[in-house]
Amino acid sequence: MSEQALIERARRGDPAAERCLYDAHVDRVFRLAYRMTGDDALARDLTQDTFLRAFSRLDGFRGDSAFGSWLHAIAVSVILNGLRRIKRIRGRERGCEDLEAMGGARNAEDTELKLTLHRAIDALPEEMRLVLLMHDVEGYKHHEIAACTGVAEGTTKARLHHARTRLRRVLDDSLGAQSREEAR
Amino acid sequence: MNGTDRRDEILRRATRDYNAPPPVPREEIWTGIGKAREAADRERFRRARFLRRARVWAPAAAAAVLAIGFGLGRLATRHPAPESVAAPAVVAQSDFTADAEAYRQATYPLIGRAERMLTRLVTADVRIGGDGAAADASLGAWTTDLLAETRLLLDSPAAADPEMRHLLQDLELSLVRLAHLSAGRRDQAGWIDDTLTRKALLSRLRQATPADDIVRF
Repeated sequence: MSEQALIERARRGDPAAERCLYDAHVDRVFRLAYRMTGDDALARDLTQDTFLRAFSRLDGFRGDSAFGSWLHAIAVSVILNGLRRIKRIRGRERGCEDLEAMGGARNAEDTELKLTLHRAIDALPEEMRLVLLMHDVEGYKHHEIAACTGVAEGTTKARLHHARTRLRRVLDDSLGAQSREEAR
Repeated sequence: MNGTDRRDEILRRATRDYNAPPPVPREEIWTGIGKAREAADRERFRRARFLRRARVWAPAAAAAVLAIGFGLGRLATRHPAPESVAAPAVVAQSDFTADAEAYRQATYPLIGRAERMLTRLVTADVRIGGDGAAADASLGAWTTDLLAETRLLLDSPAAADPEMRHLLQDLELSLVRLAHLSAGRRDQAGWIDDTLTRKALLSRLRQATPADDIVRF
């Protein structure tokens, strides 16, 4: 069954059609919510809000864009509003448990470096962090990000460039410090 | 791997591991969506039921309020406020007091003149005067004027005061007799003296006249 047919059935209140649409898109929405918040419960709430809003506004979906783009535009709006509302300051001062939980850390230096970079990503402006995570981590295309965030494609590219530049600068500083440590 | 590639690889890994999401809790989220929609439906139903009931009892409540207002209005009309009665009474009392005071002020000149005339009569310069005809003419004119004024005052609110009315009646009686005296009936002079003395008319006239009026006359 095509997505358009599912949407039509969902508009008429068919729970099965709603479930199909949910299953098709929930992973990406939840992953983005979790990437942005780093909080499981908050990510669940934001995902839930996204689908509630989408289903209640399904009559307003005209089909000009793909349903996924429309849904992710709602998700981005819900996530950014949630972040602003909660104003959670997630310090990256994680304990030993968190450090052990970080997968792929081959040694103490790598772990330290990763922690520094994660702090740098935290420090990015929200719009810049969103583009970095959507493009470099979740695999969204620039035109999809532009559609979700409501800005021009060139703007998303510029934001991604600025985000990467900042992270490289932090990485260079960290690697330089490590080199100086090793030279001693 | 050169330095730039190594840096990009470190960046890629760090970004990939940033807030690495756990397995998606699909069922939990779907259950949460269902519960939230049920709660929203319940709220919508509750609101609709409230509005449905409001359509029934709101007109009844409005009618009850109108009926109570109407009843209170009728009650207030049936038992007028005491102020609405008291106010005219005060005004009437005030008007009456003002009128009585005005008539009393008009009485003082008459009493003053009568007292002066009777004093002269008592001192006998008129009653036993040498020039009988001239004295009679003067006394007659004076008495007639005073008699007319006394009669007017007796018919006015100035006589509402019993004491003043009694005084004016005695004065009228004396003036009538004086008028007869001035018409040549000097034989009554003794009787006039007796009236003035017995009824203490002169002293009552003096007491009824304010001090400044006595001085003026």
